[in-house]
Amino acid sequence: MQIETALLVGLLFAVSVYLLLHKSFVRILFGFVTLTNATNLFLISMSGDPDGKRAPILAEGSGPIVDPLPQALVLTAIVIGFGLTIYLIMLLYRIFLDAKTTDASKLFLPEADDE
Amino acid sequence: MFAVILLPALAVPLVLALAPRLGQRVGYLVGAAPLGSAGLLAWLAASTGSQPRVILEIPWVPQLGVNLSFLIDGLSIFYGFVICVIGVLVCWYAAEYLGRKYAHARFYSCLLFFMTAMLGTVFSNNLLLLFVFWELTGVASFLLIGFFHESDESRRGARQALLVTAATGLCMLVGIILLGLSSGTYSLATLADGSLSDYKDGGWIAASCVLLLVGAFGKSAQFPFQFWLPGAMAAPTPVSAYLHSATMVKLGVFLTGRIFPIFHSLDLWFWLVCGVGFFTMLFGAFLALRSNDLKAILAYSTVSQLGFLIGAYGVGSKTGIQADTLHVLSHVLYKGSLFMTAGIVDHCTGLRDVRKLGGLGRYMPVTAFSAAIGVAALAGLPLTTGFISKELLLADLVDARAWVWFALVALSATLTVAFAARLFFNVFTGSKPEALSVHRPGWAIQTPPLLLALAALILGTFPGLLDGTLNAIKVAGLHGEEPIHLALWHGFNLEVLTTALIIVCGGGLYLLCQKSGWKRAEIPTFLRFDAAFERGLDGLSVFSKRLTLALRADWPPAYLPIVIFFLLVSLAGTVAVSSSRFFEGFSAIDISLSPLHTFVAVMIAASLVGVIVLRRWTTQLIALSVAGFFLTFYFVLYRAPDLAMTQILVESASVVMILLLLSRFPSSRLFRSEEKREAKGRIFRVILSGGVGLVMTGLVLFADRHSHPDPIGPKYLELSKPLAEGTNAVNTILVDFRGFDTLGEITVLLIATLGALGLMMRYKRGRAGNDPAPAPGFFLEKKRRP
Amino acid sequence: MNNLLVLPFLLPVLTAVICCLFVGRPGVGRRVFIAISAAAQCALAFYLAVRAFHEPPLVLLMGGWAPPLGVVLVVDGLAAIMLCLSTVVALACILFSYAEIPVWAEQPLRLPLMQLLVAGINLSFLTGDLFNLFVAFEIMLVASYALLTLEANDRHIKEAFPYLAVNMFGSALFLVAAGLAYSVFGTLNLADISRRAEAMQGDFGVMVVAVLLVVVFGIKAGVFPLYYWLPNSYPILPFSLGAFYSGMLTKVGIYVLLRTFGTVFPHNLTQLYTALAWLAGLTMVLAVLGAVSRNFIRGILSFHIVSQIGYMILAIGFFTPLAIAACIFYVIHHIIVKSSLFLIGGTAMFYNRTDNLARMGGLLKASPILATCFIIQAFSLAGVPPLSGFWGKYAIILVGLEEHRYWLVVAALVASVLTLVSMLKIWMGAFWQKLPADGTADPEAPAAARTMTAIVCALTLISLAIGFGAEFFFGIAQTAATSLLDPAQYREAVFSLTGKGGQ
Repeated sequence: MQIETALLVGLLFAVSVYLLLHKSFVRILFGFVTLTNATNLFLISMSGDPDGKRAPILAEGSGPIVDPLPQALVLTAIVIGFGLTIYLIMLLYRIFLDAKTTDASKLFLPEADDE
Repeated sequence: MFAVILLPALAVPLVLALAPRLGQRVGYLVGAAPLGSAGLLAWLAASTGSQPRVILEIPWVPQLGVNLSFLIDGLSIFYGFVICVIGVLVCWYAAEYLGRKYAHARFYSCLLFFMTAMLGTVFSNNLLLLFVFWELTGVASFLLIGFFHESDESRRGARQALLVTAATGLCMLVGIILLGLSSGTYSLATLADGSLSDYKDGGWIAASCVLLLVGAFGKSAQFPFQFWLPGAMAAPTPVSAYLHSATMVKLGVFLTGRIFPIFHSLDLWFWLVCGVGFFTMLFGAFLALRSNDLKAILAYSTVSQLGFLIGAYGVGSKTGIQADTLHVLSHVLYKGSLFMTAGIVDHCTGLRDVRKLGGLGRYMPVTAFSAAIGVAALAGLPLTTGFISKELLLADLVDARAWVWFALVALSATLTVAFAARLFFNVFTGSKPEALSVHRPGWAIQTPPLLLALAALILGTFPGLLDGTLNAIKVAGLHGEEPIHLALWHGFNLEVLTTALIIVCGGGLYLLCQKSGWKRAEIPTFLRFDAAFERGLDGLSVFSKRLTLALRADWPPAYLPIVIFFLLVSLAGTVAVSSSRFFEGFSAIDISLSPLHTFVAVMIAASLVGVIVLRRWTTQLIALSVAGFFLTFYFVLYRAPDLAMTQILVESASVVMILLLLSRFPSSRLFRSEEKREAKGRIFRVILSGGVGLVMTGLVLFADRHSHPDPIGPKYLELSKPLAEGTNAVNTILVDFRGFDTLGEITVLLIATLGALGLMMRYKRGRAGNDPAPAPGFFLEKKRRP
Repeated sequence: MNNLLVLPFLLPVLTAVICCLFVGRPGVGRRVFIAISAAAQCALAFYLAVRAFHEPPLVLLMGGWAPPLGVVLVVDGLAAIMLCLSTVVALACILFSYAEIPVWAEQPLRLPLMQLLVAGINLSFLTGDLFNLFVAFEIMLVASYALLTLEANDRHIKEAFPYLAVNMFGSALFLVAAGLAYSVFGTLNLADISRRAEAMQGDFGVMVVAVLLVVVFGIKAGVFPLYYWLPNSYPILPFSLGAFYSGMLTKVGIYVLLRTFGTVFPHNLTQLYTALAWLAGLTMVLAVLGAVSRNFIRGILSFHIVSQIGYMILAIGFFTPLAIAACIFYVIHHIIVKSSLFLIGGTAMFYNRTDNLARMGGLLKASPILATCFIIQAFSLAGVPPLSGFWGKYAIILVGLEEHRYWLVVAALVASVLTLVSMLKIWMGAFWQKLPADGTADPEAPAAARTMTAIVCALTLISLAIGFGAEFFFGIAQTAATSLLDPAQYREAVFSLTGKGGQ
């Protein structure tokens, strides 16, 4: 399964960076959401190939269990990423209210005075 | 010892306290500090006897090789006396010179600070300590030059002086460090005793010699650093008399003398020191001839004379140093006196332009007398110390058979006679121009220059008086063994003939220029280094603005691409360095595909492509959430049910929030036309994103092949039930084993909430509220001040 | 007794939470409460420092779990120094902000968010676990985003956006690096990684993880070309916060670089060190040229931060024991000097109502004490002896010459002179220049101006003490460097404690 995950991770990162480099706020926002997803997938892939293993719930039953630590890390990362996404949404809204535009390149046109 | 150095500094608080009350007379009180130092110094000199060499050492920062190490020998005692005695005279002069309205506290504190720094420099034994004090003198000079800080000229002059001396000072520091690393010590006394061949690394020795000399040249305003000195004339005249003629600029000469025993055997020394010194002598004299401002003439003549002093050390490497202290003393006496008289002229007439002055001798005979002697010494006329010192130098040059330098010196001396004559005759004799208003100076202000001039005269007429002192202050390694014997007349020899010739030619040159009305007295533009310096500084501002723009540091949309590009370059570089090690094991990757996994992966990929390709924001959002939900399923396939649950919750919440945001934005239809314009940078974006994707894929595969055989994850599985009393290992990790991380995560949520709250808080626009439509957001009442 | 180790993180968080829940409205009582808390954090940090320098590294096992299972907090010499500095600067900035804004005009969220920022920074210094470091970075970063946008006016708020963009990407990268580190090393505990990395010398995974971490920490610290987000976003902060950001945030990046190279990774990554040294050279010169190009105080000072970071990274790039000690000394010097310069700028702005140099002037007359403090700190930054900046620069140049890295030494000296040029720009524009016709040099509230000047003087005195007492401070830096470069001692301290689940 790792090869599919590797390709998928690559695609996710590529898509997220592509979106991030746009000028529209919406694209940038989507880019960040995809970026968090991409990093989470990357992290979970660090636990190795899950084929033939069970979930880390120690019920009865035997057999190899998948590595639980990356899953815990990803959980933390998802929550932190969520907090950041919400903050980013609010920030974009606030900038939109002040600058009246959703185009990032229009934000940074040179202004009259040096300040 | 410390008292000698620190006495002036300790007087500062006293000055700050008393100055407001005493007004300008505080100068006399201030003069007591250097007087005290001079007294202590005399006692010290007496107690150490003739040709002393005493070292005092207190550790300061031994880890870095800097200790409070002081060397008391002839040279340092001599300079110490010069600093203290001239300091006293300058303080008394300044007491009369500065009017009532100046900031006396600030002036005298800086002056005293300077004195301490100077004394520290000349008495230092440790080269790094010398550097410390050296830079401090530069700082004090900066503050004093810029004393009249509201004038543009003062500010610029101060800045020039500081930047030039700081930059050359840094070169000196590197030279010091190189010397220290080669020889293993920073102590001047030890270095003077040692020999260059003992030290390792020949390249460093030569480099250190050059760099140290650069530092000396910078401080003493030698070519090509000569331009800061005339700029420093914006300082009040007592400062010019003290710092920029008698003491601070002598530091370069002092340093050259101190490092002479170390480097004089190098061929490089002779050529560099003589070359720069004597060329500057000529150059300075040339520029002085073409200046019109009294202080500028004196400044350039100082530059020229300093060239003389430094060049003497160059010649001395071939002939032996005999009378360097005499040269310094002579210069101190007449230059200090001349600056002070120039100050008196300025004070009494308000003018410094030679072309507008004349006939002042009638109004200030005493000053004219001091000036006459000073000018005579400058020109090297007999019966003054200037004559003796010039004769000795010419004799040395003859001995060394250095005819090129001899010619340079003779030529410079001729020019010197010319402008010296101008200084005296055009100012004090002749007729007074109509527009000039003069008031007579008081006795007190004329005394210090008179004292200096008289000293120059007496010592010039009876030079034998100096023999004993000069012999007593010889320094081993620097001075020759035979006792000095000065006399006014050494017989008819080449030097006397040359001097006579110089005086005659110089006089002739003066008359020539006088006849032509000094029409060509204007320094040509290409020689105006100071203007070039200022233009350079302005150019620097412009250059830096352009550079910042070119680096895209002012264009925020470029920041992220640059970071990503850097990431790709560094990772690519790392992989390229040993690509085989990166890719090893890749061939063993299991490429068997399972249908379910592949289906989910393809769905995710398809919806991601949809996010990019679809036109409207709402459809993009749908595609995004489809991707997110399929990712959830992917997590399930990775045997991570908790993860999947969290992902669903977070995904749903995010989608709701994004929808709320999108509902406030203008419709995506309005934006579509702008999207077309984005096509320009598309290639670049594709390359960057493709690169990142490729890299990440590589990293996943790399991690798969290089995973550590003994990860700690399975240990959690073992201990989850027994120690953490839970069957869900992920839960126990989050809540128990690594619960601290979860605490941090919750804190992040708290902060994000507060941040989002803060974004929406606004203050009602206050007093000048001409705001057409208030911005939405909830308002905090800005409470009025109770 | 080692339970104290969690307090530098816990105390600020508790303070912030109490402020939000119970003492929400701005008021004098709230200010006093926060000031007391900040002072207590200071005292605690110094107590920990005294202990850390006399004993082997202090370790606390969170939850009692044996490493590498649980998170550990470790305080050795370097961490203790950083904790002291962060709490002292936080206290100074908090007191300054009291003078900057009267009680009734204060934004209620400012102080709690600042405490949370301090908590994040402290945790970065305390933690001994890579993922916990990520969490600490996130706390610190989100708090910095929140504070940045809290009081920004409408025109300036968009400057926060590049800051967010670059740092969020950096966070994503950190996660990638952490995951990769787990895969390569099998553990997240720094001491354990150190142990395993030593056994794995020559494994390419070590290099890849190291490079990723350098990029991430470089974004935080401000290495060329990753520093662009910094000089344009710091100027929108009010001066008291700007002082804190400039003093501490970039130093966290330096600290983690020191920790990774000193303790975690084996000391043989010479190519990486050389690359870092050259990047540092570029950073020093290009950033100070940026400073020369700006015309308002906060802009100039923000660029200086990056340029001075260049010196510290140069020292890390040289990677000899003396160089690391020089780096640590430089960190100590720079935090104090930079924060005080920002606070001086804030006081200057309080007098002149603007920080645009073309419209300022006359401050030497208005406040000679402020001018003296500024000239001392400015010269210290430029490296004039015997002030603190000189010793750091001298040590770095010494190491550079010993290692025959002549071009880098030249770059360092050029940057020094240019720093002096830009400092003189401020001095001449604000202090020496005459007041322009439409300007004013009277502070609105003289009492507040006096408080501000007093705080600035206190910091200047500390800086002077560092300069004149360089022996003592350099000695501390040497001790910290020695223990930093001795991973065996670190590992032993961490593993010597018995906890649950240990083998």
